[in-house]
Amino acid sequence: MNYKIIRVNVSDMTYKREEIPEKYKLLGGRGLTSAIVADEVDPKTDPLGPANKIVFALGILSGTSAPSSGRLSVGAKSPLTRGIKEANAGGLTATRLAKLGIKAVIIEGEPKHEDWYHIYISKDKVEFIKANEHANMGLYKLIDILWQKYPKSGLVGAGIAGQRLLRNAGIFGNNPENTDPGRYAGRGGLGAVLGTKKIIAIITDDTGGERPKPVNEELFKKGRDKMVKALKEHAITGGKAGTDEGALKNYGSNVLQNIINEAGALPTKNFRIGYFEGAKNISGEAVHELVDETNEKFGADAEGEYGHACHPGCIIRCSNTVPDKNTGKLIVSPLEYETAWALGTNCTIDNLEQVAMMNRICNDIGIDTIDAGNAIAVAMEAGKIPWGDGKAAIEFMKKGYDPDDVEGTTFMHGAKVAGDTWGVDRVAQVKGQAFPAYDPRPIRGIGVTYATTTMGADHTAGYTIAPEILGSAGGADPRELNKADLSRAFQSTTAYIDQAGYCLFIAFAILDIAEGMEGLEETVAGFLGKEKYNITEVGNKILKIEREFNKNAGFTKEDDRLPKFFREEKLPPHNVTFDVTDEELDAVFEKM
Amino acid sequence: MNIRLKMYASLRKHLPGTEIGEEVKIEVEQDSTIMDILDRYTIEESLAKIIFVNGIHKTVEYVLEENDLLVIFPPIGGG
Repeated sequence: MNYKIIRVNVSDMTYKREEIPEKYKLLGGRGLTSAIVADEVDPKTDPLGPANKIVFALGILSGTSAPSSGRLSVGAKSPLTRGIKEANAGGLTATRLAKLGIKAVIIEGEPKHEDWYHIYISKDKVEFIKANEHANMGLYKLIDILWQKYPKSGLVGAGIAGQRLLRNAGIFGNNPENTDPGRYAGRGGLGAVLGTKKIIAIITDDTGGERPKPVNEELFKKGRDKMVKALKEHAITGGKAGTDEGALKNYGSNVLQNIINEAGALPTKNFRIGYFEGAKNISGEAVHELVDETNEKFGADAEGEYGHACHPGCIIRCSNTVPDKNTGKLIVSPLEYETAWALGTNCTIDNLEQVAMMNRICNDIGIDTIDAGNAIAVAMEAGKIPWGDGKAAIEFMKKGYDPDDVEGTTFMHGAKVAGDTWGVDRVAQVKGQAFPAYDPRPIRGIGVTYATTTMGADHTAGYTIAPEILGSAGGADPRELNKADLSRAFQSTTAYIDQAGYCLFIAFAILDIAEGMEGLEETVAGFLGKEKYNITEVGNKILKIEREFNKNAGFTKEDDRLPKFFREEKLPPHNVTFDVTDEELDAVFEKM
Repeated sequence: MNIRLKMYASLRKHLPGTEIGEEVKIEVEQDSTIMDILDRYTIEESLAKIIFVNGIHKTVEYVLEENDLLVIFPPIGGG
């Protein structure tokens, strides 16, 4: 497949269709965004300045018949962490771009105008569409308007927060039915980088496009069949919605809420306790029950759903739609574990409807839910919202719509800026990015990932929870202190999966089923026409590029540390601290 | 002796009538193992993928003690 790169220069509103340089030919997804950012962006540049660039890249396999491979990576220098950033999401855009033969879209330059634009990409042309009337518009309304004019298009872009250059602005994406803008490449403030380019949305229309063809069809198909078999066979990724089988299809990612709680590791009240009595009320099981109840009550009018696909070709189908219990209509889609935890548990809010509404506001104004939930917890620390008061939290979040509201603006910068502004020291963050939904005191490996990943505190970067809590790959003791090897192995494999365009959740199946792991390498190697495409080697290469960028941006070992209170303050109910040594943290990259 | 029991996700059907996360007090014989409890509810061992006793991972051979909180999950993943 002869892919091209679209390079948009907003300084003069032009674009070029470029050949892919030889050195990028075997890259995709995170591998490609990180390589381009490392090659073209000065690590010391102002992330909101004219020299930063934002790169959208599909995975190597996106748009092919490899299952669950339609992820889109977005990369830039992060305004939140000030290091390199990649965030990825499902939605429609990756598979649409694949059919147009476009591997990546790079947006660079400094606008010389005050106008807002959309970029429209189709088979024959790239157009700039003036869109001032869409600026500062909620994203539910925006995607609806855009689909009326560009039906079936993939949409990604910057919402209200990104347009205002706020540091917790995500890149939104429409879901396959265009009912929600919630397919977010949320983390790290990438929406603000797009905002500096005065671009609201990228609209991709794949009419007339073709599915990409593997170079070695035979090897690709062999690998694909192994991957399909592994995903279907495994108890987590397989099964069927509405039956006893298939954890993700029935309960979604939020099936984690109860288990992390029972492990005493569910961060509650801004990381004070590891157990939340109300967790069950906002868990994946609770969403499942609500969907069943409202579907029965409202029949054909009901919009609640589990077993929903976040992108075309996903066979894991972990997404959901949370319905309003009084009408059966969509409140938000999806409600993920990290979000339910951040907006719910971490703020001690256990009302499912309120948490879903908080999620909806995040999606509408264009911010990452994890950092948003941490920022609300910070606002609660500062006495601006009572703990556990969902109604008050919703009202507070709505301040984000008003550009003149200082508190709303501070909130939309994320937890670190909120803490600095409101005088709250207790902010769970690394490199400026707030913690996800696992307390690192009782689960040490995930703490090693938070500390050392190039991304700032991020669970997906090296998801050691799989062995430490969920028993994947034979299991691992969560209290063990030597976790550098485990975290490194997961960080490396993750980078490879991200580059391939696969959803990270394939890991649950392929960690347990050896054939599935073979399928991972064979699909990638087959598509690229290589005999082999070694997982650890390629994964490590991506991590080294990112690490080097961060080093040149000014990061040192001291940036690979958790906030002090995780070492000093015992977390009930197990009363443990984060006891991994600094030497062990440093060993993640020193021994790579 | 008595222990406390919770089951989640697809295993909750073995505790009919309970709410999500509801704890059930059950009487068991002295020196019962977790395997004995699985047998009692006819739960295949492979479906009891993640087992906590008082918040700590245990295997099916574990011998239960008075008032232990036993929590059983099927194979699940997410995050």
